[in-house]
Order: sequence, then C-alpha cells, then structure tokens
Amino acid sequence: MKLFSREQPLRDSLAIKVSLKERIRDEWTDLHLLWKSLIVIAVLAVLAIPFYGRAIKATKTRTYAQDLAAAKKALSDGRDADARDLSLALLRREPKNTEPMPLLMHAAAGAKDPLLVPVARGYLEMNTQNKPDRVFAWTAISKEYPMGSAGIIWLSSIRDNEREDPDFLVPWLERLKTERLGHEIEDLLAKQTGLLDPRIERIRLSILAIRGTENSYRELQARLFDRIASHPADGAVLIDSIDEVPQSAVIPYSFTALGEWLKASGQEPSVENQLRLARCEMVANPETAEAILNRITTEFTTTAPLPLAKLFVTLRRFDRAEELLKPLVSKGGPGVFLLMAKVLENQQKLDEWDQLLASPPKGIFLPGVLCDRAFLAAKKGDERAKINFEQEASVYAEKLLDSDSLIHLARYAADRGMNEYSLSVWVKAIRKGPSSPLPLFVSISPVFETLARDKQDNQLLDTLTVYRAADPGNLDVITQHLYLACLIGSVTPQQVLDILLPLKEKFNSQPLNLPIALAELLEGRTALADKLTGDTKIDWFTQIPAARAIRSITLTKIGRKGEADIYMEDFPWEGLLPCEKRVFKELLEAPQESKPTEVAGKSDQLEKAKIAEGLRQAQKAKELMEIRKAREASESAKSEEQKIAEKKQKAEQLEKSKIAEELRQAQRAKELMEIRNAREARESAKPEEQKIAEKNQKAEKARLADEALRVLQSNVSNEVREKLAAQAAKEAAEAKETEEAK
Amino acid sequence: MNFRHVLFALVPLLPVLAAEAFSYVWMNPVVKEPYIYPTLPQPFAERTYQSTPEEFKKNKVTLHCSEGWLGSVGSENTITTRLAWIEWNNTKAISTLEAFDHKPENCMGARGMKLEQTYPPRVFGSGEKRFIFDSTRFRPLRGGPAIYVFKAVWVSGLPGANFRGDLFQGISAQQGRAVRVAIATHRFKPEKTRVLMAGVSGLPSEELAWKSFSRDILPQIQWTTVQPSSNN
Repeated sequence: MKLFSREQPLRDSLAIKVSLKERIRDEWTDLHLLWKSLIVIAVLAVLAIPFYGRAIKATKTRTYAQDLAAAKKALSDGRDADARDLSLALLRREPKNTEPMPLLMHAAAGAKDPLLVPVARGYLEMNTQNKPDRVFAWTAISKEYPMGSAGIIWLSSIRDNEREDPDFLVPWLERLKTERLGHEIEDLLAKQTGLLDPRIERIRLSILAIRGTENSYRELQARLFDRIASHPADGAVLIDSIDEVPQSAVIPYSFTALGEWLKASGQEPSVENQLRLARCEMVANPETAEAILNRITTEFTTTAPLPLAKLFVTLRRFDRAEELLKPLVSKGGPGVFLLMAKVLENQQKLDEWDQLLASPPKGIFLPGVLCDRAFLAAKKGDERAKINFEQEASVYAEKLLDSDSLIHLARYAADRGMNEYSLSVWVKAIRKGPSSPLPLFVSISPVFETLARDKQDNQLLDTLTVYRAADPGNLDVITQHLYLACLIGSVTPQQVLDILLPLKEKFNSQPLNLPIALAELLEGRTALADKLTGDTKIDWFTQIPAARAIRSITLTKIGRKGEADIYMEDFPWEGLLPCEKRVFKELLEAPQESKPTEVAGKSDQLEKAKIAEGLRQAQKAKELMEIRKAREASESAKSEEQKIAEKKQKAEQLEKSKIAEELRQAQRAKELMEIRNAREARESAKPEEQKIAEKNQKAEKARLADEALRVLQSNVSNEVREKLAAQAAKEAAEAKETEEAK
Repeated sequence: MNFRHVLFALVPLLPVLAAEAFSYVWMNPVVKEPYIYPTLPQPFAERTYQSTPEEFKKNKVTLHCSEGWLGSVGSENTITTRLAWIEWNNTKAISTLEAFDHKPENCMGARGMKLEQTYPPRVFGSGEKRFIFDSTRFRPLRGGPAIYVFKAVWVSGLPGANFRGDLFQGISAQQGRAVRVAIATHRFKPEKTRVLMAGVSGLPSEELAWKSFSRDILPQIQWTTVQPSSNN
C-alpha cells in the first residue's frame, strides 16, 4: 500500500450503494498507518488542549517545589552558599513568589553575603505576618545597615505594635548602644511602661554602667537586686551586669541580695556566680577580703582558672591574674589571650605584651591585634613599625568578610587614642560603600572635618556621596554634598537648584542659602543670589570663609565691588578647599576686568556711570559703616588688649582704604580725561560749526557733571570723615578709660 | 608597435588628461595675497604642563596631519585642561573639511564620556584671526566631574566656519556633495588647517571653563603672515 495513492475502491467501480458509516469505515481501513497515527495524535492533542495549562503548571510547580526543598535542605545541612544560590534562582524564576525570601535571608546571613541587607529590607517592606522572619530581617538590618537608613526603616517598615515588641526593640537598642547614642536609648526606654523585658532591662543596666558615675552604679545595683528579688528567673540574663561595676562602687548589700537570689534559684551556683558572690562578700566584709581571696584561689585555681583570673582583673590584682593565665596562654583561646593582653598592658610589661601579640590564637579579631602592635610600636618610638602595623591592620580588616570589620577597627583605634589612624580607617570604611553599619553623620563629623582640613576635596566628595545613601534624611549631608559636587563639577548648578529649592521651601533652613546662592551665581542669576545673601543681620565676618566669599562674589557681580573688596580684605584663602579656592577666584573676577577693550568706546556712558558711581559710593560708605559696626558688636566679647590692637589696625586700614579710594578717584579722573582727549581727537575731522556747537554743549554737560560729582564727593567724604573722626575720638576715649581702669 | 600606434592608443586618454590638467590649474590658483596662519606652541612655561608625545605619535598616523601636540595643564587640585593642537599644511580641501565631521562626541565617546549639553559656540578673536569654538559638556558614563570641551577648526579662507552651523557658503559639513561642488566652484584650496581642542575640568560651569581657557591658553596663539613669494 502506497502512502499517497490508493486503488479505486471496488464498490465505486461496481456502483454499489453503501451507507456513510460503512464508507467511513472502508476509508479508514484503507488509510495508511502513518495517516491513521497522525489523525489519532491530532485528535488527542485537540482534546488535551484544556489540560495543557494545568499540566505545564503542575510540572513547573513540581520543579519549583523540588528546588525549594533542595534549598531548604542545603540550608539545614549548613551549605549556606548553595542555599543562597538556589533560593536566588527561585526568586529570579518567579519574582512574584516571595516564599524563598526568608531562605535567601538566612542563607545570605550564613554565607556572610552582603545580599542579606537588601533582601532583609525587601522582606520587611513586604509587610508579611511571619514574626520570626521579620525579627530576623530586622535584626540583620539593625546590625548591618547604616544607622541613618536603619532609623528610617525602624520608623517606616516596622509596625507600631512591633516597635514596642522586645524582639524588635532589643536589636535596635543594641545598635543604639553600639553607636553610643545614650540619649536615644533613654528616650525609647522612657516610653516603655510596666515590667521591662529582661533583655531590655539588661540594656538599661549597661547604659547605667557606661555612664560611669557613682550614682549610676548605685542605681544599676538597686535596679538589679530589686529585679532579681521580685523576678528571680530574670537573674540569669541580668546578673552579669554586676561585672560592669568596679569593685570600689559595689554596695555592701550586694552580698546579701546575691546570696538570697542564689538561694531562691534553688540550684547549685555556677563558678561565675560563686566568684561574684565572693567579690560582693569582700565588699560586705572588707576585713576578711584577703582571706576570701585566698579561699577562692585555693578552690578555683585548678578548676576554673580563667573566671578566677577575670575576677583578679576586676579587682585590679594583675599580678595574680598573670600567674593564673601564664600556663593557659599556650593552649588558651581568644578569651585567655585578650585577658592576658589586658593584664600585661596594665602592668606596663611592654615587651611581654608585644611577644604575646606576635602569636595571636585563632578566632581573634586580627586587625585589633595589629592595631595594638602599632600602639605598642608608637609607645616604643618605632614610627616605621607603627606605620607598617597600621597598614597591615587596615589590609586585614578590608579582607575580612564581615561588613563592619573596618568600622570595628576604626572604633578600636579611637579607643586606643590613635585618632589620626582611626580617621583614616573611617575614610576607608565609608569609601567601601553604604552597605556597612556606618554611624550617623553627626557621630562621624570629625572624619569629614579632617578631610576638609587636609584639603582632600575629592575624598570628601566620595565620602559625602556614600553618606547621601547611608544617611538619606540628613539635610546637612545633602547640602554639603551638593555644594561640593557642584564646585567640583560632578553636578550642574541647575541640578543643585532642582534638589535644594524644594527643600528650602519645606524647611526654610539658613544653611541651604549658601549652596543655592552659589548655584544661582553660576547660573548667572546674580539678583537671586543677592536676595539669598542679602540679610543685613548676618555678620559675614563671623561666618565660614566660604560664606563670606560667596557674599563678596555676589556683591562683585551686582557691581558693588568696593563693598565686596572689604569682605575679601585679609581673606583666609588657605582655609578653603582647593575647589572652593579655584571657583571663587574665577567668580571674583569682575566682568569688566575680563573685557577691558569694551570700555574704551563708551565715554558717554562713563560720564553717566561716574555720577552714578558717586551716588553708589555714598550708599556704599553708609553700608560699610553698618557692616563694620556689626562686626565690632560681634567682637565685643574679645579681650580689651586685643580690642585696642585691633582698633589700631582698623584705623590704619581705614586710613589705607581712604588713600586707596583717593588714588582710585584720581585714576578714574585720569582715565576720563584720556577718553575725552581721544574722543576730541577723533572728532577733529568734523565741520567747524558743528564742532563748536557740540563743544559748547559738552563743556556745559561736563561742567554740570563735574559739579554734581564734586558736590557728591565732598558730601560723601565729609560725611565719612566726620564719622571716622567721631569714631576715632570714641575709640581713643575708650582706650584711655580701659588703661585708667587697669 | 610604432609611434603612431602609441598615439592612437592615447587618443581616448586625452580628454581625461585634459580634464585633469584643467582641474589642477583650476584648483591651484596663483596666490597673490598674503595670508596668515596660527600656531600654538606647547605651554612649557606652565609648571604643571605635561606633554604626551607618544599619544600624539599614535594619533598622527590616523589623522595624516603635519604637526601637533597633546598635553595637559594643571593638576588634581587645580583647573585641569587637556589640550590637543593639530596642524595640516597644504592639505586637500576635502580632507580639511573632514575635520569638521569629527565632532567632540566622536572622540570623547570613545573615551567613555557622554555628551550632556551643547552650548552656543564661543568666539575668540576677530576677522581672519577668529576661532569659533564648539562648546560642549561631557561627563563620564558612570558619573563624575564634568569636562567642558571646546573645539575649533581654523581653516585659512574659512574664518567663520562653525562645527554645528554653516561651514562653507551656507552649506554644513554634513552636506558632503554640496560641499564638494562649492569647493570646486569657488576654487577653494586651504593652505593651512588647525584644530584646537581643549577639555577643561574642575570648574562648575561652562562660562567659568571658557573664561579660564580663553584667559590662560588662547592668548598664547601666535599668528604668522605668509607673503605670496615665500609660499612658493
């Protein structure tokens, strides 16, 4: 049987009549097997159409479920990287399905992946009801996120009821404690009513210990013993806060209170608690203190040498602590190492301390050890070794996977008093980007001040750029960043205005005026800049140099050059950033200075300008007097001697400015004469009659103008002179009075 | 093959040779008037000047230019101006006009810079001694400080030629065929062509960048007058 041709059926040739059913059956029988198969498949395919979607979905779901299960298994097996990759792939496959997000969060935390923070943030914003995962996400955010951004999430993504929940509150309080924001902690604690959660109470006790006053230590102990007496079960969480109290501040009642709590707990006290009790007993019975020490030494030297050594350190018995720790150092872990380092440092055994630091155990924060070695090298006067150790510490900290290793090192160095080094590490930490737990801008402002002082404007811009993301709600950061970025050319003046003008409308903050005025100046809108800086109450001499320069530039641009020059007298150019210096210097160039040729052909205008200048001089002199008076008023707090010296200097300056003004007038008159001569020479070719008529007209005009000018100048100078004379007489009288009083 | 055959073979070439001869005579008119041309010496007097001769050597091959130099003035904490001065002497008119086709966005784009804004052209000097600078602002693709680029092509006989405007008899550089016809009809053959390109960074506005560039660099341009006799 052929595929495409078939024989004429016999019934057709015989013309036999058959029914349709028989005919179909005959046709089907005669059909090639291939056609039969295709028809069957097609029919089945058509019939299966309604089930396609479901089938595909089922297959996908099965694969998705399998992958999800695999991710969960990887996480439970401790294969964090695998779990992270699988859950991330699942999220990419179905972005709307957020089921793998908690998995990804846990896996990223395990793998120390910086992905943790954005995922946790996204999870919190999803507003789910799964409390454990939300707590996990918030804990990650409060630990790993920059303080400013974490604060925004605390207020925006954490619900009101959650903000009172200890599970959410504790990580936030811990972060505030790390950032040393005691006031904020106290504000939050003040809002808590009723019995505090023991974890929150523990933080409160820590804050009291950090305060470090006699009263705070007393309050700490009162709260502690009160709480463990009423709620003995909370003692397990709270009792170690007594370790933060120095021996001299421990109250005698502590022995009774601790003893009663230990009795009430009904269990065999731990070594640590026995030692705490002994410590309190020493305070309660000071006459038997030595005997108590000997007793516990005998009892715990072999069984618990480390806790005993800790007690000796608390009691500042470093020699005895050293004795106990010496045999432990070779085999001990980070605890022994750190305690021994503390002991040796306190005993000023520098060589032994250095020797100890040279072989740190595993699990120690190595950059901290290297920082200690740098500190030791500095103490020994070995500057080269100090720099080497400092560099090594920074390199190690950068290599570590922890997002906060550089921040940790910076704080460690600051605690050691290595401020310069600490600042340099802070810069590195900031430049790493806003994915680490950076502190608030206000807490770290010395870093920015140092960069500004060192004239590192590019580094300053980089750090401010990071802080725009790390502390997004901070108006100071926005203002300073835009100001600097505009000066360096990273943003255009129009971009500065686009961002700052709405903020100015909203907050009407004075510091915003400065960058806005600068941007307006750069955009050529000098009148607006004048409006922004024209507040007569501002004493520009007490403002930062940049503000004074911007005011001066504005005055230059609006044609009040003389007044502008006063602001630029003895201007501290060295106090400016390089970018500020170059831009201000460019801007301070008055337009007429850059186009000297244009002035030559405008003698008529010059005559008018001269009259106007006279009027302006009068106005200016008045304003200058006001400025000077304001300046004097602001400096009234200065010492008398300084005042006298400055007054003398001022009088000299006034004299100088008078002479300079006179010279300028003479110069101007000379220029005017030259211009007139030139014009006369040019016009000599004109007809005689016209010349005579014009000459008479001009002579009349010039006479009138000169007369007006003379009147004005004499008025101005008389007025100024009178005022100066009165001021000088007043100053002399004051000086005389001061001397007599002395 | 005798001489007659050779002559016979050359007959079809005669019109071509005649046309070539005519076009040569047409396009190389005798220069009767003196003309001027500019030169910008390298600013060696600038303490911060750094020349990059190797870079220029590489570019010279592709530009087919006669002379020139590349360098920069300024440092990180000052206004930095990168400069390029390219000279073509006795070049072809078409090659000269091609210089106008190379807009700053072509070469700056190759350096990872994005054109942000085009400003109205800046003019320096007057008459024949006039440079019309195309003024643009570029920024690195990933963000960073802006660079204000000023580029001018000076062609002897075309003092008013503008990058983005009229080039020759109301025709822009983009109208290639019209430019060719205009060159032929006007017997235009530039003796000297100069390109000056400057990238100023470290300033927040185009006005300040221009002010700095026109004050510090442009006054150093020197003009030489060539008498017709010395040309030949």
